[in-house]
Amino acid sequence: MNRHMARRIQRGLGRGLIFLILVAGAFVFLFPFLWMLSTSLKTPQEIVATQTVWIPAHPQWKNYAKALGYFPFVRYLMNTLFLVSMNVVGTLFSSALVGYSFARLRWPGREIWFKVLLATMMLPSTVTMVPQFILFKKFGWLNTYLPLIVPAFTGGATNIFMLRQFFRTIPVSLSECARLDGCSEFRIFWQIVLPLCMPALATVAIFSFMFTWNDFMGPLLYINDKMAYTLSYGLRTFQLQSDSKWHLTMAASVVVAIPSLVLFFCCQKYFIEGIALTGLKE
Amino acid sequence: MNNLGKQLKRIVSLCLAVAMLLTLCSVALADDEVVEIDFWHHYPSGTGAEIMTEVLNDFMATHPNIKVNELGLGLGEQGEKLVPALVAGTAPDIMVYDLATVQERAMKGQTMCLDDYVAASGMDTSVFFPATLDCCTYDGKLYGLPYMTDTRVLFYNKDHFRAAGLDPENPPKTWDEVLEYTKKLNLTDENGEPTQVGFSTVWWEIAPWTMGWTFGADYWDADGNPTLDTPEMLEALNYVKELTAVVGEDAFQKLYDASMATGVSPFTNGTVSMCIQFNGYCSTLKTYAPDLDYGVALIPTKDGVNNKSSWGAGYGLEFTYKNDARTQAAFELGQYLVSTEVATKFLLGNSEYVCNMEVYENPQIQSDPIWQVLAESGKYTRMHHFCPELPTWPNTILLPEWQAALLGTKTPEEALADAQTNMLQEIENYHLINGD
Repeated sequence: MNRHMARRIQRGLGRGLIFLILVAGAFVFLFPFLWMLSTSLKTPQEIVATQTVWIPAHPQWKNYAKALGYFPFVRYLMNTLFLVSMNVVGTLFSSALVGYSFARLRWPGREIWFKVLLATMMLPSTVTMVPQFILFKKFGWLNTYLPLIVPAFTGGATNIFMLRQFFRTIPVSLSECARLDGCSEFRIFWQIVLPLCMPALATVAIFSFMFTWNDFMGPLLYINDKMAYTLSYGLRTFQLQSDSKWHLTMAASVVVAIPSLVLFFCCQKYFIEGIALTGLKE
Repeated sequence: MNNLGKQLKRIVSLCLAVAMLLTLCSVALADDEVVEIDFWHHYPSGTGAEIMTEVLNDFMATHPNIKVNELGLGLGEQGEKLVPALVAGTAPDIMVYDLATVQERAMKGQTMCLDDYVAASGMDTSVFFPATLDCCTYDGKLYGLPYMTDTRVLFYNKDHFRAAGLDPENPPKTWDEVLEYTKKLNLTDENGEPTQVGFSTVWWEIAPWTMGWTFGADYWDADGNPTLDTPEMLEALNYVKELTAVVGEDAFQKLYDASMATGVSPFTNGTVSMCIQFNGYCSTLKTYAPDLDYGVALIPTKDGVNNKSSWGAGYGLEFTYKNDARTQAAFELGQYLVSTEVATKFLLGNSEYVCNMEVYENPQIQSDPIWQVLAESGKYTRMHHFCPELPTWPNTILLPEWQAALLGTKTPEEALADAQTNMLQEIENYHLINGD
């Protein structure tokens, strides 16, 4: 009995310690956001006070109204939502198709091309930035949304890899049965395999959303019309002033960060699944 | 058959008439053709953007045949957007970009020579600060119009001066005086913890180039050869080491770290008594420390009389060739933007430090004691020498060695000797690679 109690206590202490470490770690990661929230409600004088002010004496909610008046917030929000939706649809469609091809179809050179796909993940974006820009210029796509949308429909290496891994976990017997019943390959993909991959597709959709929502370089490079920019660009415009208005910058940052935060909390299990998916083996 | 033929003739006649009408219309339109030019500037939002919109509307009202498509880009975005655009040939007709690298783009053939346009327009380029005009000149030709610049001056806290028994209207003029004042301005509490230091020793505020100039050093001789290890430069470096020791490195670092956590410099929250900052710092103080009683003065020199210097950067207007009509329209816009009338609007409305010296004769500016000092400082402000073999030499050759000496990993003599050696090596390597 005593031994049993001792083991229970030991286990309890162990769990307690782990819990404390995790809480401390969570606080460390949460700290920047809490500081951002706190700063967004302060006056400029409270920001620079030598004694740190965590909770402002008089929360300045008007900072939010002022911040959102600095750039065409609603217009940029609409632009961002349009780009996000097009990118999510394009990424899901193209990555699923290509991932399925690598996972379930046998064709000459499949493994070599898969390795080429993986190799493209090693290329930093700065290397391809100028050649891609020149390519889109030759297409006549500058100052349009096409360079920001069309590439989503041509597949992304990371997403293809992730979906390929998931497709390989679907029993081959399902496809064989459908084939025996006279199903075409596309119908097998669309009506049998794809519906079983909702978690993976949700993960890809979430990552695609986050990437496009926060994408700053793409709109900056390809768009010349200031009314066609996105929220990430609008947020950046605060930082040009020599007298950086940190309270307004933080207020705008909170507003822009909210959709990503909401998405994360609603779909966090898919984020974790996404990390696990890349390690799955058949 | 005859009816068919008649109908055909009617159709053909109608088509010919429409074609003639359209031709007449296009000719009429061509006479009133509006030239559209693209202009990228550095105000994405705020007061600067509002003034720019007003200025451009005024320009288009007086130039009805020119339509300006403007786009404002922030400080960091200009390079990211302009570099691929310049490479791909899609850069705008006229752009606001870094003054210090005008010569680099001229060397690469990315921007246009303006000599013919300046000569034809009769523009007087002597109105610009000489250093800014030098920055826009490559191989004896003009490749940009100096637009906006900045200058660095000494900011000092008058309340701190009074508390230390120093005259608030008599800021230090020599570097020895700075040492003397700093010793009086350093304060600690009863536990020995620093509460105030006399001078800010952040490297970019007492940058090697600024300090060297004020001791009479120069980094390049008249033939364009590097001279990074002169006795004057050594004296400047040794002085900075002494100043850092007098301020107290740990004391300053504590106060600096505490202040930067809030995103502003320690002078703003009153924990540092003197610092060297650029003119735009006045706006920061207006926002974050409106009650701070401060003064500005020229950066001290070794003897307080000679070698008055400051360091500046800024923006120039550069042009890319599209066609004759567009380039002419772009130059007219550029001429308008640097004119005294428009430059004054930007100075008064947004506290911009413009390159046009005539603006500072404005009575409103003359009556402001701070602007008087800033205007004076502009005359002594220098820009980095353009080294085609290594345009980044200040940050890649001089600065690392300077900092090595301050950290104590090298002696000042070793650091400057290495800087000189490395610079010469880079120049030699460049010519070897390029087969010169």
